[in-house]
Amino acid sequence: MSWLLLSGSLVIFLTSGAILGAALGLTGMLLLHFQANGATPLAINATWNMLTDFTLSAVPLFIFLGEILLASGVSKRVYNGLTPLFARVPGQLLHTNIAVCTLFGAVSGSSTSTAAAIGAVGYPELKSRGYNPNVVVGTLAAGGTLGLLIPPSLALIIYGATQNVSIGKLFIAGMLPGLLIALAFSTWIIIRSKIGEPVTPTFKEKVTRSHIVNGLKEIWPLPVLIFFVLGTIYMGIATPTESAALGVVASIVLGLTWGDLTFKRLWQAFKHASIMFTAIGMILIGTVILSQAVSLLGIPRAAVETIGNFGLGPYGILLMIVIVYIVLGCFFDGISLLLMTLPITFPMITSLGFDPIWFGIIVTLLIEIGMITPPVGLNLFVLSSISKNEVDLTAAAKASLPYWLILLGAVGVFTLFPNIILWITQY
Amino acid sequence: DNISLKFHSGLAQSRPEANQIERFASLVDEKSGGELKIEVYHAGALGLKEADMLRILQQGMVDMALLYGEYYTRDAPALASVYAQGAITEASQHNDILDVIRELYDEGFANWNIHIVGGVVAPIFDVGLHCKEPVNTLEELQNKKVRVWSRHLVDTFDLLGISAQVIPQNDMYMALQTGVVDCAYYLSTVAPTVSLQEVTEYEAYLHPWAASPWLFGISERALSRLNDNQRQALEAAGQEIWQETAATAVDPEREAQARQEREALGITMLPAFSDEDQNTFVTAAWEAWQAMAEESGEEGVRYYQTVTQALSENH
Amino acid sequence: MLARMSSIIHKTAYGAFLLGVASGISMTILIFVSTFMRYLGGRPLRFSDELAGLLFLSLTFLCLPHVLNKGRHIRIEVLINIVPAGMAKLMDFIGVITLLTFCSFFAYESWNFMDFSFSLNSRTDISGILLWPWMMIMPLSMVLCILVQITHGLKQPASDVNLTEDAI
Ligand code: NA
Ligand code: NA
Repeated sequence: MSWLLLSGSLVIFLTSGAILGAALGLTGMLLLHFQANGATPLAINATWNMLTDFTLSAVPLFIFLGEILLASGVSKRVYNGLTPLFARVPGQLLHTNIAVCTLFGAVSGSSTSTAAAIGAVGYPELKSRGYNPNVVVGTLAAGGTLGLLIPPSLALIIYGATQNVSIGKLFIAGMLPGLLIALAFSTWIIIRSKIGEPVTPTFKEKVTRSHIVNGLKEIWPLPVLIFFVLGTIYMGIATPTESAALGVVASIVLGLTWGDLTFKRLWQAFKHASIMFTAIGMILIGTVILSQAVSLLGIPRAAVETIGNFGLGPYGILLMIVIVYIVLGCFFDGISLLLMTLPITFPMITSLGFDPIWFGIIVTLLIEIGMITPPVGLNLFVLSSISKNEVDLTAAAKASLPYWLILLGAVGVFTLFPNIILWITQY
Repeated sequence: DNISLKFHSGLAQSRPEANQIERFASLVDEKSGGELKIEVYHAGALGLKEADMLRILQQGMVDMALLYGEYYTRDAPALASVYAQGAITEASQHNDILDVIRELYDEGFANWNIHIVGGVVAPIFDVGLHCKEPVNTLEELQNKKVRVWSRHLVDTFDLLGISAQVIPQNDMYMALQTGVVDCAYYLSTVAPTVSLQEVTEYEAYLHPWAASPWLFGISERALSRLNDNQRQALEAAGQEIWQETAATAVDPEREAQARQEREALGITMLPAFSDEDQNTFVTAAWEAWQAMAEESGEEGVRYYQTVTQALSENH
Repeated sequence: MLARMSSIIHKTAYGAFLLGVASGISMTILIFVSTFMRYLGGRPLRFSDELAGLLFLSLTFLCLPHVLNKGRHIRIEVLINIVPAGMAKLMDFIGVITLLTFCSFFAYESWNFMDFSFSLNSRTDISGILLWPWMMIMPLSMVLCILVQITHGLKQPASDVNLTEDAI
């Protein structure tokens, strides 16, 4: 009955083209009202808890940061500087999206922050240079998922703490898979830019060494910003949320001195960024209400328990669990999905003889897949909003499909060769 | 009629207390002859937050929950004044005032239409400072940043001139790894469950954990659906767990063994904070406790006075 | 008369939006100063995380009505763009009803949430900030969203990417 109400109202509300946050939130409220003994007040508790969460406030901060860099022309000069360097690589600056996301993932614990931080700068810059907007969004949505796998990772910390697995080992184990996936993303970008219609601008003049050298002179603000955002975290001056605020202030100083930022443009940047974030915020409200309803009803637990009763072998059960995560990934994202399912999946999987560290990485991958699985895919929403709906949700989902398949393929490869994950933990 | 109740617990399944909740569930099943089932959701799997639990149970939006007096400072600040860190300096003192605390909690939660049916008397774990550098005096703590878990502790350290901040358990690992804080004030006995040994090298004992008991609360709405047989099974099971865990709450042998295990994990055990330092800390803790109680109103002051009086009588 | 009412509603939504942007800016400054204080003075501002969280909530809710007014919310438009006009109109109508229902429920429940906290005099854990005034933003925002939608009738506001408020 819960499933029927859930899928029924989602289909009606979503296909009608209703505002996504309202559609998801109303579905959640109906579930709470009719299936959970009138627990609709919980919708407010859940919203309040999420939107007063200090950690999540990094998301608007990173969008502020991106908009300020854009308004000051700093990001334009940096990307101009990088262009000659990447001119001969198929896919060109698209690779910077993956590279910067990997770098950013190495300090940020969250997938949404990564997508917001890199997307707010990367999307407008690449689009204005003639890159195909959909393809840009695809690389950014995919790159964002690296934020969760490459350590530090909120998902791994929660996995480790709730299931009593060494967080340090999980972090070490996550490094190689994260880098391999980043490499696979870049490989796909190269393949994609060689087939089908062109997705990158073409160069008329030849790129010489002096172009490259002159270009590199323009990118010095990049290390400065990297210091403020990434360095401060590593040096223990700031938490990830605080580093976002430091980054905003650094970008203002940089923009006012080196770029063309004025106070008028700064105010505009804050306004534009607030609109972008609010569009995301509305969806966050909808998703958190729906998640609250579904977890209160114990739907994920019931789904996983059903599998246990099928009488399958270890790999059969694993396959079913993967499928359940993918299906649930349509409706939920990230940490909430992890908390709802782990109490059941962890004992099931480890009792079948699978390694707890290995499963930590696999389940994080599955969570990442959910971040780019429509209809509820937070990375897709963030980027769609950053593109001012020029790339709508459907297009964003379509553009992310190759990366979705790469992530799923990685789950298969890591299952066949678990030592890719585990070898390093043996030292 | 067979009834099934949903039970919320915010504790990770890896914590020893979680097993007791599972045992409670199977005892209820057994004693009610299968008429009453408790479905336990560990680690907040129902998606509920501790700060909201009083409101949630009051309206019966979930049937049962594991309650802990210190969690509800937003809605019921007086409840946080029943017991505070630094209240006891010897683990055995805890047993002496357990009944006094329990009575106050029963009364306090009843204001929220929550009926208490026993609970888990938390094991009295060691509390210590877990630092990246060797620290075992208050003096050495002066220029360190300390992670704590409650407002009362921030105030206590504040009185001692030490900078402390509340950092949620999930962020503690990163905060220590990156150096946002230098030390964590934490339950030493269960520190390995959050991999604390990977980000701190040294440990020094400060005092025994003044552990508010974990109480099994049932909403009046859920209670009214139960028949006599089911109610009796619930009460009897809760009481049985309470008595069993009370008997084993203080266990120096368990603490010694856990200490050895941590040493085996590579932690360097420093000598405990000196008696003088412990006294200074306790004095500050009581002062902060009183201030917190006064701020929360008459009820809080009464709780504070009842408990501290009972403590003094037993000294 | 109607035109005047909608103009007032739109201006109120825009005013709330400006307040929301100001909340976002204050949040940034607060987090920056608090980090700085801890680094230099070894002493964090004890109220900063909680206040930052409250400003984060204000940013989101205060901006919602204006973002609605400008049609900048994210929707799944794949079907509505390919079905016949009559069908599209009906779907749009369902979309409006969905929004209005959601906002009404949310306004009602969040009012109760605020009211209950008011009666308890609820405060934040660490810094003791009084909560009900911040909670009040939620129902007010939702009521304003309902009013904004009413000024657009039974059609969802069209997306306005080139925002006109750039003048201010
Ligand atoms: Na990361
Ligand atoms: Na998803």
